[in-house]
Amino acid sequence: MVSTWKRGGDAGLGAGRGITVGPPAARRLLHWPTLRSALWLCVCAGATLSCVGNIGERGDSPGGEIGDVPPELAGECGEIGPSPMRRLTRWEYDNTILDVLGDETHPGSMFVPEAQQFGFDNGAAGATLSSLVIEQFEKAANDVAERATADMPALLECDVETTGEDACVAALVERLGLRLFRRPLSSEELELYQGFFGQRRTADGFALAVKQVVSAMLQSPHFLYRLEIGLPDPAAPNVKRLTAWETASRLSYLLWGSAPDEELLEAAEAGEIDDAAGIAAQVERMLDDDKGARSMKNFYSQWAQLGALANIDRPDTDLDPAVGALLRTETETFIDEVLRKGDGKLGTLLSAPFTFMNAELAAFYGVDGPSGEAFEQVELDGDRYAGILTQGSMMALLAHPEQPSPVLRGKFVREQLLCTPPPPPPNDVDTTLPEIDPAATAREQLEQKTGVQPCKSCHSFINPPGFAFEHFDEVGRWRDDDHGLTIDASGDLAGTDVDGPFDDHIEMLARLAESEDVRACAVLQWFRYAHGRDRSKNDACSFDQMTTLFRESGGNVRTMLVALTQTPAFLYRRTDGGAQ
Amino acid sequence: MSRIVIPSPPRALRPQLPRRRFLRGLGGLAVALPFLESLAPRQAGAQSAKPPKRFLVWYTSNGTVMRDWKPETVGKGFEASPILQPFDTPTLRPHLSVLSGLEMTSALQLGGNGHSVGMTNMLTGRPFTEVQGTEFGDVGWGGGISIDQELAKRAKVDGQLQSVELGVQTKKQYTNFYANMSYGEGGGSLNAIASDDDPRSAYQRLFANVPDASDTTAELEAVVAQRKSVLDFVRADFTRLQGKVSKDDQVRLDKHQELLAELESRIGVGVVCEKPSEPVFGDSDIQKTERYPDIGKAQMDLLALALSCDITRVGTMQWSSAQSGTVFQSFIDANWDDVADKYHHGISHAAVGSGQSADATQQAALNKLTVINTWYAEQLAYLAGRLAEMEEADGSSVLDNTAILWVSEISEGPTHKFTDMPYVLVGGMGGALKTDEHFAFEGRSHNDLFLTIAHAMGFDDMTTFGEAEYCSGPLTGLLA
Repeated sequence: MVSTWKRGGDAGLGAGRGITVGPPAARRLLHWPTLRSALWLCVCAGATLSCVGNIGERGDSPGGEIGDVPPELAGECGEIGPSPMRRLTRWEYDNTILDVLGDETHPGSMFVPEAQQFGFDNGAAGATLSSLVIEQFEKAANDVAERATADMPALLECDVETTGEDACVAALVERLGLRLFRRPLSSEELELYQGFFGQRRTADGFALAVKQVVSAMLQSPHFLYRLEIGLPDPAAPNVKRLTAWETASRLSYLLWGSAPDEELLEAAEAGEIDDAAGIAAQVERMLDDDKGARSMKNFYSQWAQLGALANIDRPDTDLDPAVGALLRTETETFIDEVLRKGDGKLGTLLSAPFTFMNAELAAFYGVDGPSGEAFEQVELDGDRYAGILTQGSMMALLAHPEQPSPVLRGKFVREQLLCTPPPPPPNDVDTTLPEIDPAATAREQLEQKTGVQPCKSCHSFINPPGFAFEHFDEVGRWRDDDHGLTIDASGDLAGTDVDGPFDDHIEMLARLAESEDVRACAVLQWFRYAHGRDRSKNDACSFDQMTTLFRESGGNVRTMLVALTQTPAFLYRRTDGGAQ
Repeated sequence: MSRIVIPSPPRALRPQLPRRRFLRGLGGLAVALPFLESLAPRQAGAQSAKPPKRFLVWYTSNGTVMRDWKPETVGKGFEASPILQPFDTPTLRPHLSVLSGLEMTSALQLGGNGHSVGMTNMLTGRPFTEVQGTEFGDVGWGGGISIDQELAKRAKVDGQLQSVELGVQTKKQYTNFYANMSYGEGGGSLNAIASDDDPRSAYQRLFANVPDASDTTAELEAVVAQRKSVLDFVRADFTRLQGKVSKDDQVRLDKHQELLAELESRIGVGVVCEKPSEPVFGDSDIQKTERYPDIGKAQMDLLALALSCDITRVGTMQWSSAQSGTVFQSFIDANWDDVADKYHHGISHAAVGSGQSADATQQAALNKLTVINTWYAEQLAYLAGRLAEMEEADGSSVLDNTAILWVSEISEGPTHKFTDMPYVLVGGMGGALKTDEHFAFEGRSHNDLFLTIAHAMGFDDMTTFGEAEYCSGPLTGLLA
């Protein structure tokens, strides 16, 4: 089967070019369950709330087809979910101006935060608009342009004396436009900017005119929004293949949180990312690049909600924001070392008996570690420590100021590892923690409090995975006992594919590290992160491609990311919007 | 240091500025007379202008403590309750109205977390939209325009900022519908209006173009001209995209373009004003709990000046977010040992609702909630006090011409109820609202309260606000 894809057509959105795609490689039709549909059924009847973690059937779903790119949009893979337009997040804005203009001031960090969707800040609907947001964009653009034009020769890379103002500005607009808009500007666009420059040159002089041109580019919808038009296809008016430039942009914002670099743009121009192998090669290159650490850290920092470490302050302990910053560095380094530079396995993230510390952090933990400021790999006692969840960052965040929180920890496992978030407590119950009673462990008191309805039905699912971490105190450190009382970290995991009793967190985490439910949850989360929306029923094919390769790779996140970039949902867009 | 500089006000749109305010200056600094002399010609003939009416929303989280909030008697002459003590001063008491018994009818039928339901209904008077159904209840975004925005839209004059939304650590816990209370036309996530939590940014937006001694009007005008030229070009850039994107995306781009046009239309030099000194904070201060009071004070000062300078006529002041977890222990000097949980929301759950008997732990929690709400009342009294000091052209105070409405997303923390909401009004909006009275409006909807305020502000063509079925007309007892 040979498909011919006509490229080009839209002025300014891609050079005309035809590409040919060979026959699909051996098709593997796989039946792999989609994410278990896990339902928390809450029935409120009078004052009684019953909550049952009702794990649905593993339903059959369309098989994933791993073929060449572009995949045939037909049959089971004939549909994709909606493709809502994305706006650069604050973080992407800062990365982009850093990479393109070398501006290190992070103006985006003070923008109105995006509304979180599905736990991430990059959801399409999270980009709210108000006059404040618009003014922040304007001020940042003017400030960035001012800094950029302060060193005019460096910005222009052109000698005005010999080349002339107009020619230098024309070259600047073409060069900056390619980087900021992530595509070549059309001749019409180049003329418009040139005209704008000429007009402002007369009014304000050369430097201010250049500044206004740069500011205008930084406020352009082509910069702030990731506009995708796609390639015209009369046969499929509502589902269009992305242009190579648009594909490059999706790749770079997924993997780098930034605009494509020159190499990726050249690959797009040369047609090198029109096929599966070409895209995979770019993904590998981009993950190997230092900038690959950005998205890995960004994704998992949001997943673990590490941002809260900046404000963490536990009275009467040595955990303050300064230590919080070290804990964050530890976890981010660990994430990157394992997932991007190491074996890439999600299981390793959840079970590795090593971490990364510097001298100050090792002193906080009270373990032997490096002697300097640099973070180095530290081997840990495997009977105590297993991966990211036993790190101080996570254990301290999942705690109350004066005591650890089995509820927050159990909720995290349910919500972020298994994608089965428990419902919030009913409005009218007293959720105050039990007073610290020296005669009973915190676990005993919590069990007593939540062991009756209306709490019991949910907490019988929430508490056990939380109790597993009873050996970690409220600042995230190991403790042998609970204020002198013997710790019970055992429990019974229910509602997963790795159910059963466990002695402690080490045993539970070892099981979760191999859980297919945990992997399916990671696929769902990466899907949401990549597309800025939830999975829709039309994404079954794309979703299964990711799930299959992830599973076959033994849970390798890098492999899953490669798979993600080769799905219909990633390579095509719906032009009829479609409800989320 | 504040300066008064020669204005070039959009004539007829700017209210008269009283000489006495100029003479006093910010922080009591004396101002050189020649400036005043040169002001005189422009001000001639404006003496009879009636000051504009302003409306502010004052938001605090987690409801109140009814036992310490509601005055014991209804009508005139009520004794100020413990929480309302800060208003019991000769200056403020005449401006105080307490409104009890009102309910958020639109929220009563909705399931889901009480704080998110309350927050989205609080200023919109209608059920939420973009509902994400979950097995454990619905969540969503505000379902339509909020009352502050409706009034801002109507009160706006050309060249003015339509409204200003200031806040203190409103996005520290949440960035979604828990953290947003104001909505533009249509509501939903796209039209959610974020509060500006950074006084430095608020200063820039409100006062950057007010000239002071360090820059001349001509210099500012050149900068404004450049900004406008860029905005003009950018708007055309949006126009060229028309029809090239999907319908849903077009809605978003259109909104962006509208906001650009609105910005371009209002930036300009010429506001006659006392330019306040620029607030000084580090980036990391903005989210620090111990700076909560300082940030709040800076925002209140900016808000008061923005109203008195007629930079805007509608504003909001949002303290934290729904289900606020602010730790007041960080800055209120009290003994917090008797409550286990130090977070505001946590404390509210350790208490009991009105009418229920409380054990010692619950009493302690109630007492702390009263401490918290009294602190908020002190802050509101400070803001009202600033407005009371600011004199209008006709000799009245800015507070005389303003109404500040204190709202919360629920009535009380322990029950999350939406009935008997604890509304407080400070200021009579130019005599249009009765004050110094405790009104009991049992069972009336907060939609009717919003209608009342709209009528008081002069928009008596409004017959409904929010969901029409919850409107039965203004609260006539409150209208003067």
